[in-house]
Amino acid sequence: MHSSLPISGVLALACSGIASVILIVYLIKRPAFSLGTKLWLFLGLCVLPLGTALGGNAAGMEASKQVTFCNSCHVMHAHAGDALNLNSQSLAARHTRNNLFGGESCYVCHADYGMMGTVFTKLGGMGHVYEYLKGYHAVSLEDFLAEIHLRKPMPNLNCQQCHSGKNKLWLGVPEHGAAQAELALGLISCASAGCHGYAHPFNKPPAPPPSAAPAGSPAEPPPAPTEARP
Amino acid sequence: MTDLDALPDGKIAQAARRVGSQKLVLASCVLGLIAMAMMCWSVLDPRPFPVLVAMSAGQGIGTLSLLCYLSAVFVEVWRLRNKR
Repeated sequence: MHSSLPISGVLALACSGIASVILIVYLIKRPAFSLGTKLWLFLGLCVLPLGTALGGNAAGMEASKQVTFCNSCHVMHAHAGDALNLNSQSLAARHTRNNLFGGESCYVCHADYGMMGTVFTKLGGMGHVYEYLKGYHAVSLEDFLAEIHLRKPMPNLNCQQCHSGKNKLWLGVPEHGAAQAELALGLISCASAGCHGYAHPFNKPPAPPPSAAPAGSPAEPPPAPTEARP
Repeated sequence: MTDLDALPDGKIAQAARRVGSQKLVLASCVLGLIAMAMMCWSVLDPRPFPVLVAMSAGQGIGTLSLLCYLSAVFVEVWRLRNKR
């Protein structure tokens, strides 16, 4: 249970409490279906439940952004454990330590942006919960990590919500300048081996040693376009 | 001709006529309480399963509850109009 309820949650509980009193009183007394009764029932069956639904949905949406929510499923323990590890230097951990991401780092990085981004992200999340309930709840973490993959590549736009890629500091990095077109097209992922590293590197194959890269081509983009596994 | 014969002959209207407004309101109250209990559960215990239940089954049952109530009101309105 969360230690503090959001305002929307309080609204939902308050509306639900008042509506429940109205409905229970009706069920006990069973008055005649007069105009007055109809109006009370309209309040208890339409107006107040609408407040409960709106408040409950908003509270649910907020709750589903929390790292603790993602970590509720055992198959996410490794990802959340790494992200919350103060000693980890992975992209996920470094971003989770940032106050701007706070306890919502999974959502902030993985949410699609744009007008319908939240809706599509939530629909995708529903898909995850469905898959979990359908079968993955019985799968061990090791098997899960070996099997899962991202449904679609992580778009660089998600990184560029904060790292705009337009200031001098960013443009001053030779690799950025050389790979700008590929980055814009999504052919190279910011979070890939050879660039900034995988966001969740603990279940990835080790990156090739620097000597394996052709000499004199530090800006050569890696062949794998995106992070293939979460 | 009875009062209820004045109702439309659609399947939903026939079903509402058979059940009667009192039972419809009773069902509406029970369904409403169940739906609100689900939503409160998701607020108090925001884990994936309660949230999923509230946003799917809870919403569905709540909508069904409202439809039962509206059906009861329409049955009553048609019945009273037919009496005049």
